[in-house]
Amino acid sequence: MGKIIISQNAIAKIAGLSAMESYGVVGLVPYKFKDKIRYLLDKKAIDKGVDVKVDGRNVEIDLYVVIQGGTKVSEIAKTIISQVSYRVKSLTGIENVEVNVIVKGVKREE
Amino acid sequence: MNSLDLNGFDSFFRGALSNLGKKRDIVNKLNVFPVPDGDTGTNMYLTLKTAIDELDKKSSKNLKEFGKTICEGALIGGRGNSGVILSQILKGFFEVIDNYETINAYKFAEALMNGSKIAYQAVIKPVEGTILTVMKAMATKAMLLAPGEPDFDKFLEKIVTEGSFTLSKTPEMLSVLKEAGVVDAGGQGLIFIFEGGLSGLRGEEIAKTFEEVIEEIDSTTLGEELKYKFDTVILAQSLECDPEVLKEKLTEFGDSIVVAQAGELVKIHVHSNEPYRIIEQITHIAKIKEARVENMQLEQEEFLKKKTSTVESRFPFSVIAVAQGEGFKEIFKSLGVENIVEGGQTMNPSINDFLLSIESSKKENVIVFPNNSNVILAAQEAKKMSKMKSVEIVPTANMVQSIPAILGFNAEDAFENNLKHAIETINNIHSIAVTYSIRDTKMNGLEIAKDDIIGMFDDEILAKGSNPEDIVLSLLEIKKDIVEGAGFLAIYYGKDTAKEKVDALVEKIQGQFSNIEVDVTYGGQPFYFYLISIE
Repeated sequence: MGKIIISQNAIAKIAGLSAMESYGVVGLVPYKFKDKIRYLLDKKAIDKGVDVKVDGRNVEIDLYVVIQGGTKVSEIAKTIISQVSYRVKSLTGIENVEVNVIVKGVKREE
Repeated sequence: MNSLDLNGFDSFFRGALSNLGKKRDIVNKLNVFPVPDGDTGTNMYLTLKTAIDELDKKSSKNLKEFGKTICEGALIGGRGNSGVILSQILKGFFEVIDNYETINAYKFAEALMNGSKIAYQAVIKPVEGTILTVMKAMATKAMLLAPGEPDFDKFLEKIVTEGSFTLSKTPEMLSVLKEAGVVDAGGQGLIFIFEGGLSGLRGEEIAKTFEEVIEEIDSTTLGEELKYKFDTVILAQSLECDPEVLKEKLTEFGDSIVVAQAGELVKIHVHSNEPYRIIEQITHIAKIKEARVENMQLEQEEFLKKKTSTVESRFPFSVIAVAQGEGFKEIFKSLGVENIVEGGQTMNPSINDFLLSIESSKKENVIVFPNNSNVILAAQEAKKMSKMKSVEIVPTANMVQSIPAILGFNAEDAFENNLKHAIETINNIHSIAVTYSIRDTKMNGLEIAKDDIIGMFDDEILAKGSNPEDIVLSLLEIKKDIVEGAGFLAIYYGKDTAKEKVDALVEKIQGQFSNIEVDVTYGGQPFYFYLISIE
């Protein structure tokens, strides 16, 4: 059988979109700009908020998220981790997936 | 009744908690993943319970304070996804109630609507067919009903009916539910909350039973220093005074007083140092049918003795492991585990269980193996609460992962290095678990029926059938790449697995994978026919 190659970008898209569907996530922010520019990414550019590192058959995913204020941040982060790792594993077939959540902001309550 | 006041809300939420508590297992079983460890019901229950515990701590003068307290409690106690959503619903609900003292149907509908709105606000792409959908349906129905239904009881009943109807439609909205053949667990939990709330308002079964109340009191006193030594329970007939008067009178002898009337009988529970005086008092005003006195001090000492094993750790630090099954407990003891916390899939140890074990450990540094992904959180909380020890947690998902990690400890090496090594070790171990399904479902393209035997490789269900041994073989076949690259297979068989079957299985494995060393041990674990680690 031939090879299947999945790009880091594709993994970032899957992870980003699935994070956006998680409860309590307001959006993703770009990870490269650090603290200089803080804006929520559009769905089309969602992969900019996801840092994917590949090492052999292992994938490490860092998600840079903003979370809804007035919620329990730790529980939301846990949900993101389980949801994203389930999604990435089931869609790509990669077995060793580690997901980290970096909470870059909390959206103010209205 | 056409409106709700502070007392009404109090009855509503206590009824809700009691109902959810009774039915949480039903909710747990609705989890889409069909192994016996679903926890949506438990998560929602504990979220609501923390909220109500807060209410018990601070008395509220008005609805505003009541709402504030319950929302704070739910926020802090929020567990799991459904718990977080529940806390948002409550937040939105009480935002509307704010300064009102009585709430009529219209205001209630508005509050439900805002609860639904706030809950939806926290997600950009809401998935329909979940607790959110059920909440929205109830709020919308409430808005429609409010102008024409002033009777609160009927109003609420109709809302619940609408919610149940929407709940029954969730499988059509969300394909994973349909595949698994269940309704949404969070939505079901919400319905139980409202049903319980309604019974609470009607005055049905809000009160906990006497036994439930005293069990709760007695369990919280374990582990604390005792002010009163004796636990006294008296069963009496024909009480001549008002129960409240008796309760008041008993405060001079002790605390944790519960007086409950059950038909003709009155049940009395007191913690005191002079149980004979209480009995004497009661003989004057009632006929004693039964009296039981227990020395809690001795119970406590025995409890602590049981928890604190006499094993001196062979490492410069203490090791605590969660275990279920006689075999596993023996293995852990022989490996030098100082304290074993009883627990596993169906019985998750509490934060307090961990704390007690941690604080009674002999060494300054403590390493904890939770051995179940649902237990890691409780261990982490205990770590935070521990004042006397420095605690580290190795997040093992099952018992078989922790064994090689403990074997790898080096008594000569530093604590940090041992910890690092343990974490590296667990990341390199694959595990197989063979159990049975608790209900019909579909998973990874497998049609699974209730009681089918299912096999998991690293927590993913990959095989099903009717024979546990065949499942082990097919999992090994499916993951041939990994198995052939490994050198060692440790099989732990459960309490319902016959040794002859295990022997036959080992022979087959050795026939198929000639390079692998196979080791067989009795684990004695319930529910799991086999737990296997692959190194």
